[in-house]
Amino acid sequence: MQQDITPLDMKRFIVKTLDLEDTAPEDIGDDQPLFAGGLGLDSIDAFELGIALKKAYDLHLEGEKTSGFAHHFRTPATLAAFVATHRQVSP
Amino acid sequence: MQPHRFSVPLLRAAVWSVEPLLPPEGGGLLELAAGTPELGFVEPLLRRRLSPLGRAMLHCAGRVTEGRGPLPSVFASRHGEVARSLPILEDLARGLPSSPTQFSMNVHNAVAGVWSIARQDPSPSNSVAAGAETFGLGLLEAFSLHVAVPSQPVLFVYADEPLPAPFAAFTDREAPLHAVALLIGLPATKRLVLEREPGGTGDPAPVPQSLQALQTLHSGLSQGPWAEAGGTWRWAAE
Repeated sequence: MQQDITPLDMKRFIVKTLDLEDTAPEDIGDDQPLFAGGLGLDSIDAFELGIALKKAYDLHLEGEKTSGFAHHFRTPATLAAFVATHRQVSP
Repeated sequence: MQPHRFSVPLLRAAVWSVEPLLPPEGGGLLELAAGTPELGFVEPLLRRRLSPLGRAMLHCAGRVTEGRGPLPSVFASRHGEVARSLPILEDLARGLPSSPTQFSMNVHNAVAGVWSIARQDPSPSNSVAAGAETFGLGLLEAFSLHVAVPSQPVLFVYADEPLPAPFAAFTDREAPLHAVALLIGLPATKRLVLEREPGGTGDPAPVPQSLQALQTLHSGLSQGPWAEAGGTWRWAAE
């Protein structure tokens, strides 16, 4: 199990993947909500981010309960922890 | 058969192109632009979803509708967001999940959708593709909306870009990425007159219809008859 993905890595990944052209990764808080009331991302972004993370980190998601995704995708910090524990390759 | 003649009254016209398509002198009505499209009226979270083609379209649409409220629109493009469809097809061919953003934005009316959201404008909007005659037939679609309610200005927006590699073999009269917006309405500042003769004969046009119309508006010189699959087209400015 690897824990080498930081919240900043995740923020860079989010800004790049979702073309957040007016947002710098450093402007996003580690514990800032990504969706409703936070960064303002929407359901297409959630889907986009999930597919991009799966491709980039070859996430192993079998056996993962889908009901937990809302928690894992809540903030850059929760997402970094989730990817770190489910990745199968280095980026 | 007698040609059909349409005299389209224009209030404003804007062009954005990645490289100059028209001589800098002359013009009059045409507002020419290049460089970064002006999209201040689209909030950043919405703007990021726009492709270069969509940005060019909305730049022009924003220019000609400056200071105006809701109005009906026709968006036209021969090839549309083909640059977005391609990666989706490539992912499908490899058995990979495709990008939801590309999927949602590759439909032909995606740019019209962003326009209506950005302007909070619920007016009717059509998105047209009609082969090599897309510019002319899209313009007629917009003109017909104006004729139905002459007091109502109608926005016509057109854009196209070169086809990406696997489709490039189908290229027919390629032009660099360019967008045009015409605000149709009265009292006319200028009129774009087109004559279409179904079944008529003429030479093939050297440039796409959008450039034929822009050259005519820019120079005032009429041109045609140019042959297309559905008949001939002539362009004039009054």
